[in-house]
Amino acid sequence: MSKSIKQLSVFLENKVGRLGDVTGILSKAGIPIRSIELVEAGDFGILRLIVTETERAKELLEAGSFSVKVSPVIAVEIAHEAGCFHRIVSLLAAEGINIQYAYTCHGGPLGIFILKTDRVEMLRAVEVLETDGVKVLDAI
Amino acid sequence: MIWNQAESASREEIESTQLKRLQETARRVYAVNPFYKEKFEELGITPEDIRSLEDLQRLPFTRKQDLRNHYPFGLFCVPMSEVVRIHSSSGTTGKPTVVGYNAHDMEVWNEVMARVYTMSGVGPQDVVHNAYGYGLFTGGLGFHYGAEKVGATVVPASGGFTDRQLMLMRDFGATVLACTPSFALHLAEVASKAGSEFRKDYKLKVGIFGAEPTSEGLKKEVAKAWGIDYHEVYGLSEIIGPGVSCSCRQSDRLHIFEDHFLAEIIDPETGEPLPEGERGELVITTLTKQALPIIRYRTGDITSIVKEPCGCGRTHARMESIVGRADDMLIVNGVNVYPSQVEHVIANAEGVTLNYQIIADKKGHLDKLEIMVEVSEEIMTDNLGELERIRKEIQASLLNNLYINADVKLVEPESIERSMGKAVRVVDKRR
Repeated sequence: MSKSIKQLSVFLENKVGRLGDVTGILSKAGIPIRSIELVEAGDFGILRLIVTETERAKELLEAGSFSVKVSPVIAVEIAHEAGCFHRIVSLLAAEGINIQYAYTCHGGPLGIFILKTDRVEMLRAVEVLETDGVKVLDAI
Repeated sequence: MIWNQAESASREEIESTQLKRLQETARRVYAVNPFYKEKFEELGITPEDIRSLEDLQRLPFTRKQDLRNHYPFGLFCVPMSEVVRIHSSSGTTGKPTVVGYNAHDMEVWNEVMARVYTMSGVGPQDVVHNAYGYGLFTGGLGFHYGAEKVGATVVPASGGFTDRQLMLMRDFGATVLACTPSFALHLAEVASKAGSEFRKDYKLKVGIFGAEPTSEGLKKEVAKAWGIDYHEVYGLSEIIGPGVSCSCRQSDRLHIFEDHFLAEIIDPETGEPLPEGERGELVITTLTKQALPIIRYRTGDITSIVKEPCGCGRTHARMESIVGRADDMLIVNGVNVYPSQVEHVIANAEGVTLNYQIIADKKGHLDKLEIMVEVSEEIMTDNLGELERIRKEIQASLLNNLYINADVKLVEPESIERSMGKAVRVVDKRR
């Protein structure tokens, strides 16, 4: 999968302290978290993480009895100004590419927009964005 | 075709053979094995008290724990010089259960397995692909020698190596597949990757399946996947291995080889016998085994037995396919629920075996069931909607297949309580 970054998804029960267990494991191992998003559906949720050492983080979390899934997501650079999200979203929409979910990450003067499309459309999505001059990152 | 005319004897003949053999067995264990002698004495009986088949109820039960307590050979009733074969359980829940056979027992085993094959329409013209595991487990060798006895060609494939197994099945022209139903389904799934017409490369006509509890749905799926007749075999190593009973072409029920095994159905709570046709725990007494005869063995399996003669010409009593285990049955709002059934519904719904726990509780006057299912790596996804879909699908399958209204909850791996390494399947908070 060219031009994609790895995201960790961790299954969490909706219980006090579980999020802290995940961040504790990463913090103890000295793995910085670049971006974090928590989505919940009643009794359970998924914690999505972008970290610097994906494989090591996955091993450590699994050793701590968490179910972890690694999936490719697209990360693009965005400026801190009005209209930059809209530009990316409309480029993809015009091509009929659906965004399953998205969140952001701050990286200095510029921001980073992380998005997930259907797996089969990822290559095309990257192509569409790059053709229009959007900077797609292969690491953050 | 019927292998042995004993399978179609009259009820009177069956019962008189059973009584004679029961008396012999009782005398034998009492005379040579201190464990049985002590148990008989505790109950104040001797073998001479067995005057009719009803007197069977006066005899003591034997449990798996008794075999473990006398590990490895304590319940054997012949000198070791006479023993020609040992099999053993894996012992995952404690000491292994060890069983032994002398030359006569091997003949009995081959005889009952020959009946199984004949009942399934297998004979000298057939090629039997035997994918039961060879080794300490009784499945592999039990199916092996029975096939030789009916003159079929046996391919001792044992387990694993799916692609190679499929190649052997095609190249050797297997007409009979003997394995667990789940492995048969796995073989079909892999074979079907060659295209929807894959069956034309195989000559399979019959499958003889057993060694795991199987839902009706799974049986139909296996029969359809391979386009074959499904025969089910039941057995357990403590009694002989595979070959205690088998289903014929006329009935889904399994004929118990009553001239070798005396079967009873009891209430697992009270130990009292239940009327014909009612479901309860299957208890078996061996009638012809010599190295390890067993008196009233509590199988822990739940089934029912009917004695009316069958359309196939056999008169041997028929048991239902095992519906569950006595030690973990739950009654929820009047419906009997066995964890094994829940396990199968979950496996059938998601295609993978997931760890689960059933929690029964009261909500007002009604029982309520909660089923915790661990989210394993196989079903983990980054998509919340997908997880919710899995949860709802399991809930709907439980309702459709078992008629139970359960609340399914997805939980983290390893969060279900373990006991000795195995997950605790049932928590009954109503007690």
